[in-house]
Amino acid sequence: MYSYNDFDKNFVRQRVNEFRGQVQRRIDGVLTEEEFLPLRLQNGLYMQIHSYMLRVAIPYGTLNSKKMRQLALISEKYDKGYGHFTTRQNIQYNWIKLSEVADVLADLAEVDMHAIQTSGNCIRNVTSDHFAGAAVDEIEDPRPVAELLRQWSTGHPEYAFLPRKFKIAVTGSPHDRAAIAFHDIGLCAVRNDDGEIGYKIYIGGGLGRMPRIGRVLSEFIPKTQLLNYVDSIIHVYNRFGRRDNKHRARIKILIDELGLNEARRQIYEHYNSLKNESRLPSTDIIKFLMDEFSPPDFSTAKEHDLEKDFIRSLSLKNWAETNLTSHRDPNHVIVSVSLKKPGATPGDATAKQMRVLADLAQQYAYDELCVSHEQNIILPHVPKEHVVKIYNKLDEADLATSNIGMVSDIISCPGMDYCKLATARSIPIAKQIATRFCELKTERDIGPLKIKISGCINACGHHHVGHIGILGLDRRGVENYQITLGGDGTEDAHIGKRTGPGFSADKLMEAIETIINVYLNDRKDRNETFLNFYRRVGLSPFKLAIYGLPGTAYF
Amino acid sequence: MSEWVIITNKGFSSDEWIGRSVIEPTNILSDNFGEEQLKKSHLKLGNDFQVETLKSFLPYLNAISIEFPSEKDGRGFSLARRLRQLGYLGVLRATGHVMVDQYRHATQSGFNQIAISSKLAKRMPEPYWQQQIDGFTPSYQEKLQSGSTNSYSSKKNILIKEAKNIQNLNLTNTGLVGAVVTKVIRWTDWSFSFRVARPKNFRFQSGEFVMIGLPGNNGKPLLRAYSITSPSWDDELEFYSIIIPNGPLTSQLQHISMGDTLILNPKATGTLLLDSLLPGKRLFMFASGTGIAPFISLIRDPEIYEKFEQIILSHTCREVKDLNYGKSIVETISKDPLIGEYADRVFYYPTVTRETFHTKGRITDLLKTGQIFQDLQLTPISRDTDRAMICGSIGLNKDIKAFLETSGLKEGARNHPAEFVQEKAFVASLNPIGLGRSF
Repeated sequence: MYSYNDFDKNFVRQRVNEFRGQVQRRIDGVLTEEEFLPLRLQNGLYMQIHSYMLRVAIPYGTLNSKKMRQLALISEKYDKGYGHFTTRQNIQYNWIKLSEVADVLADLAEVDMHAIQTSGNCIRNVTSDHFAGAAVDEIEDPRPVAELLRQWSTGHPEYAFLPRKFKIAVTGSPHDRAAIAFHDIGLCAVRNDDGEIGYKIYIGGGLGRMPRIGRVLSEFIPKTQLLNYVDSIIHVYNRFGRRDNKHRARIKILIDELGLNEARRQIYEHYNSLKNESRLPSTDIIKFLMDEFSPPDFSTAKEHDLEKDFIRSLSLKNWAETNLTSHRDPNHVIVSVSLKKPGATPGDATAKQMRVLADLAQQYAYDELCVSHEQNIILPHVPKEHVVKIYNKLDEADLATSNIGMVSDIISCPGMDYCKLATARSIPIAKQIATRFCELKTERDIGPLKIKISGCINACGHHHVGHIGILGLDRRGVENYQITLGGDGTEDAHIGKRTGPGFSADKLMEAIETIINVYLNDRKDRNETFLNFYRRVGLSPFKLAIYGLPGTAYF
Repeated sequence: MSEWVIITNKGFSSDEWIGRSVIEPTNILSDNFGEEQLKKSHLKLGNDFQVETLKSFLPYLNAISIEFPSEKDGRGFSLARRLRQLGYLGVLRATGHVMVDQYRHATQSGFNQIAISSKLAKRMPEPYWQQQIDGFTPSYQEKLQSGSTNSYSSKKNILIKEAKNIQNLNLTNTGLVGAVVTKVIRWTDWSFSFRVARPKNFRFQSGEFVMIGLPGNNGKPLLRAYSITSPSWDDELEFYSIIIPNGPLTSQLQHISMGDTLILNPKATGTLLLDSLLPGKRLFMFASGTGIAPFISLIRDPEIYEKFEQIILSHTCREVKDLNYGKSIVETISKDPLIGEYADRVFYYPTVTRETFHTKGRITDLLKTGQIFQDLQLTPISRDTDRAMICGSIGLNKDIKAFLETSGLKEGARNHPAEFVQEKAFVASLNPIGLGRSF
C-alpha cells in the first residue's frame, strides 16, 4: 500500500494552510462567494440542504486500520457518529460546520488523508477495482497507475478550472468492476503481442442526463507514456470543451460533437509533441510505485477447508455464498462486508462499525481495507482460517448482512434527504425495496440482481447501469420514478432502457415486484440470471406486465 | 492609478507595456509585420485561440497576453503552457479576472505576469498577492517531471521570474552565445540531463565537447566543459551532468528549468572522433561515470554504423542507478527511425563496482580475465579488426590504454588516424573524473 513520504505529507499540510487562508480571504471580503465557490469545492466542501457536507478522498478506495479509525473519530468529533461511503469510493460527512472544516482537514492530514479535488470542475479522486491486488483474473494491480494519476492530477495548475468535473477509473482485470466505460477516461490493463503490460484507453463515457458508453481511444498505451497521454486528452478538453452550457460541458459531449476521429486527431497532435520530449512517468517512478503496492506475504497462511466451517453454521454458509470471492492465493478469500442491511441507509457505517472493520483488518487481514463503488467495504486478503472469526465479529457489529450482488445490495445516492440537487427521495425507496424482498424471503431465489437508484437526473446512484435502474424525478411537485432495465457497468457495458412512463412512490414497489416476478416465472432455470433473461427476452414482457396491454395502460 | 495593475514576483507594479502597439493574431497572420515591429508589439490573445498557428512568429514576440474572462475559465492556463511548449520565451501575461488564489496556477502554467483591473486590485490588495508570491507550493507535476520518487522541490513558484530571454544576457562581443533550455530530466539525486535549443550556425562532430555554463556571481560567465550527448544532426543539444555539492556551477545548474538561458562557447573540440580511427570492423567504447556522454552522442549518429559493423559500449559505474541515463538512451536506439535498423549491432555492456549486479567489477579486470568477451560471445581484441575509444577516470584511461597497447593497438589523432583514441585533454588538465562532469 502506498505510504506518504515527506513530499506528500508536506503537500497535504500546505493545502490545509491554503484552505485556512481561503476561508480567511472570504471572511475578509477579498473573495466573493462566487469566487470562493470553486475553491471550496476543490477542498471537498459542499453546501447541502441542512448543512455543509465534506467529502473526503479515499484514493482508489484503499484504507488501512489507522485511517479507518481516524474516519471513525472524525465522525464522532465533528459529525453525528457515522459516515457515508460513496459510489466513488469516498466518504462523506453530512453534518459539518464551516468553522470546523480546517480542523477536520488537519485531522485527516495526520493520517495522510485529505479532501482535495473530491468536487469541483477538476480532476476528481481516481477510482479503481475494489478487488485490486486480490482478484484472480488480474493482469496487474491497477493501483500503482491509479496512484500515479492521483499524484499527477493533484494540484495540477493547468486543470483546476476545467469546463466540468473529470473522472478517471483504472482496472487491472478484464472483468471490469470499476465501471471504466462510464468515466471520462477509463484505463484497463492489457498485454500487447510482446507480452508487455500497458493500458487500453476509453474516453467520454459517463452517466448523468446524457449517458454514454466510453469509446476506445487507444488499444494500447505503454505505461511510460500514460501521463503524457492522459495529459493530452485533458489539454484538448480544457481548451475546447463547451463552457456555455453546464449540461453539455463534459468531455463526452465534446467527443460527440467532434466525432471520435477528429477528437483523436487533436489529442494525438498534442500527444506526439509530448511523447517525443519525454517518457512520463519515468521507469524509476513506475518501479517505485509498483514496489509500494507489492502484495503481502501470502505464504504464511495455512491451508484451510472452509466447507468444514460451513457444516457447523448454516448462516455462515449463507453469508459465504454471497460475500466471499475467490482470491488469487488458494489459502485466502476476499471478504465483502455489506453496508446494505435492509432498512438501513446504503453505504452508511457508524463509528463503532468502522472501528470493528479496522480491528478485523489489522488482526486478520494484513491491515488492508477497500471501499467499493457499490458502497460496501472489502477485506481484500483474508486467510481462510480466519473467516469464521471474522464472520462472528461482523455479526456482533450488525455487519454480517449476506446480500452482496443481491436484490437488497442497492446502490443509492443520498437523494432529497440530503442533497440540494435531488428531485426525489432515493434512500427511502432503497430501504423499502430491500425490506420488502427480505420479508418475502425470495432474495436467494432471485439471485444476482443489481438495483441502482438516483434521486435526480445527475445519476449519482448510477441507475443507468443497474440491471434495474430507478430514477426519481419531480413531476409538477410530485415524485415520479422511472424504471430502466438491462443496464450493465461491467466490461459488457450497456445503458439501461426505459420501460415507459414513471410511477409514483406508492406504485413503484408493485412495479419492481412485478418485474422480478416476470423473471422468476419465465426464466429457463436458476442459472439464467436476471440480466441474461432480460437480454434474451427484451423489454416487452416486462412492459406488458407493468403497464398492461397497450390502450389499457394508465398513462 | 492606471486601469490595470500588474502583478509580478515583485508584487504590484505599473504597466511597462504602455506604448507597445497592441495587435491581434489576425494582424500577424494577414499583415506583413517585420521582426522589429513584432518585437515592439503586444499581442493580445483570446483564450479560445489556436496558438499552434503562431508557432513561426513566436521567436520574434516579446509580449503576449491571454484573456481571462472569469475566475472559472481555465482555458488560459492551457494556452500558456502550450505557448511555452511551442518555444515562446518572452513575457506572458494573464489579463482579466484572475483571483489571488490562482497565482500558483498561473505561474506554474507559464505566466510571468498577471494584469487585473484596478477595481479588482482594490478588493484583492497587494499584501494578499504577496502572501502567494512568498508562499511555497510543492508541485506533484514538477516532482514527476524530474523523474524523482521523493525529491523535495525547494524551488518557489519558479516560472514567474524575470522572463529570461537571450537579449537579457549581454553576450555581445564575447564570442559566447545563449542557449535556451528546453528540457531537464533528473536521473538520480545526483545526476540529470538537459537539452537546449541549438544556437544558430553552431557546428560540431558527434563525440566533441563544448564549454557551457551560467553567469557567475561576479557577472562573468562560469563555464565548464561538457560533452554533447546528442548527435551532430539533432536540432537540440543534450548534456549529462552530475551534481557536485557546493560545486560553483553544478549547484546552480541543477536548478535550471525550461526557458532558462545557458551560456555556450560555440567552439566544439575533442579527440573522440571517428575520423581519428583507421577503418575497422568493431569499435570498442570504454566509459566510466559521466564519461559515457560522448559515446551517447556517437551511437546516435548513423555515421558510426557506416564505419563499423559492431559497436561494443562498456560503461562502468559505482551504483546501478548511475547506469540509467545511458541505458535509457541505448534502449531507444531500436525505436529510432534513423538508426533503428542497426540496433542489433550495438553490444551494451554495463558493469557496476559497488553494488550487486550481473556484471560486477572494473572493466579493466573484466578485459584482462576475458569475461567481457565471454559474456558477449565475441573474440578478443585484435589490431586487425578492432578500434577503441576511452573516456573515463584517469585510472581507467591509463589502464585501458596499457591493455590496448599490449594488444598492439596504437593511439591516433585527427591528423594521424590509428587504432584507438582517448579523451585526455580533459582528464589531464581539467577534470579528474571524466567528460561530462563539472564542478
